[in-house]
Amino acid sequence: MRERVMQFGPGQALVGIETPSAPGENDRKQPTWVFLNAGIVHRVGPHRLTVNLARRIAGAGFPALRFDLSGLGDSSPRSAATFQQAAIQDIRDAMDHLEHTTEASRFVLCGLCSGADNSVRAALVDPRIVGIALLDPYVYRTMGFCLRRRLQQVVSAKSWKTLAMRVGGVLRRSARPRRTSVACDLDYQPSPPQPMYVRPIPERSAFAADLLTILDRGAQILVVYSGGMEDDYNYAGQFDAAFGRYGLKGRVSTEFLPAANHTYTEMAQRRRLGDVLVAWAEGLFPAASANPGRQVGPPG
Amino acid sequence: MRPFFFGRSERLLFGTYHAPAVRSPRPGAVLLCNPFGQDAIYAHRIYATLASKLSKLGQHVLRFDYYGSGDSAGDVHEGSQAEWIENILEAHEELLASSGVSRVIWVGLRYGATLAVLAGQSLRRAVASLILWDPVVDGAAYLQELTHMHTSFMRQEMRCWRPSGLMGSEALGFPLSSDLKSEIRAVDLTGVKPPHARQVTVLTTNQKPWRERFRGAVAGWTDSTHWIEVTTTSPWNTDRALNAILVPMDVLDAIVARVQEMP
Repeated sequence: MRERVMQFGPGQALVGIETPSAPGENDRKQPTWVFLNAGIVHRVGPHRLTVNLARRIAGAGFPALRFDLSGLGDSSPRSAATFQQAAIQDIRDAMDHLEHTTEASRFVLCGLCSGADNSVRAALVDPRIVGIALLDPYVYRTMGFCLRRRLQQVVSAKSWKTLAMRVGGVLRRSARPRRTSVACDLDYQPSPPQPMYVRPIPERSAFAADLLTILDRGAQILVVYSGGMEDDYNYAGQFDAAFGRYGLKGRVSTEFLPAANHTYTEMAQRRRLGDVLVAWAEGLFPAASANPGRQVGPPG
Repeated sequence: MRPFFFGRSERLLFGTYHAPAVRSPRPGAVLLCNPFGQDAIYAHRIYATLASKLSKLGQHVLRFDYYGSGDSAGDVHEGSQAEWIENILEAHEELLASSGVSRVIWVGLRYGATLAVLAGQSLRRAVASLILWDPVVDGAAYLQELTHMHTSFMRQEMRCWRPSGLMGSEALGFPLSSDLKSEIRAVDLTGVKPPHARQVTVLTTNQKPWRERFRGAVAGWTDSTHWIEVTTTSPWNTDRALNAILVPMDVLDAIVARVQEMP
């Protein structure tokens, strides 16, 4: 099984790598997975995540394409009003190209972080997209999150040390200690450095409405949250709790991988993520389940 | 720019060839040798920028991924230092064929510079120049650095992260097999056979304890050696630099200047 370079879009400006599905699979009847850039990392992905996932999913019988959106990696920029509009057009160009060069007609988009955001935007406007697998999409806190977070603070040795230092300081100044807030206040610990690119977060209701629109036209959605989102997502049922009142509960497949960081740096966590994607894909499209987990790609 | 696969059919390599972007190209070509692991992810934009600058100066440029890395076939654990050295020689032949020129310069970054030195020992015909950007001179120290990078990165990523019993078997998502670690640990560029290069340039952006020893060793490789210290460069091999689209232009300008100075 051999990967091949694809160039497409205006002036062949977009660059990608197609991974055919494993030999013996009836891959042309299965949706093709299209993997999108995570942030501004080129199509190989952070720690080679995207290559690993594309080959893993192809090993389960689903052809895959990983490509660079315009202006990223090896793809040239294109003129568009916004990067988001350009991204949607890039994705549609990729699907057009796959339709013409293969027999693909249905697609699953998979993306991490901004790749998840772009997956949602494209699925809203293109009915060929029958599924989206969102890795660390937008996240919204819930009461359950806050309670767990507060509990973590209570049992944390660092919290007690901080409290002791505060109390000590207060006593030394002979001032009355402030009452501990019961609100979901995470300011007491520094957040990890934030990415430099801007990721605007929509209102929860707006994001819910987008997902409902996609579901209502028959497409499927998987969301996977990593432990890298620990400042905003800390338990397995948080997605359903956050969106229950919008009618999303039970309609979206969810997974929580607390041992993984945002970019799935460690190999064991990448394998676990691959397992999740393959299981979801096989559950939705069972015809291609003969060889789960087989690695494919260029010979080797 | 032409992305393509090349090499042995069972272990294909991914490369990107940049043709000269001028009407009267200079008769020269440049091969860019990737660093290892996550460094190669960080270096993608840097090498793409460098390739673009060099092609605009009339150079043929090839950047490529070693077996088991980037878009090339296989997984890292299936590769080895010996194979990646072979990959450089394969890419060199590919560049000669694509460009039709015989004057080739190799540029290597970090472990890629080290591999270039080791590959250069096997060349039948000397390359015009080797440009080594912060080469890994001491393999054992490099392994420690990889482990430290992994640990500090993961601790920054997750408050609750703890090193596992497999610590040292992977570096920022790339496996370090026992065989690979043995190969890397044995690296000592202060005591290797000289590469076949008519000129050698070392670009350093940091002060390493082996600096003077290595400088002495390089002086014995060829009659034409250059040592360039760039002290103002911005860091490039971090997530922060990657997300901020930071490219160390001062180093790239120094490399371009060296290429332009070649006869």
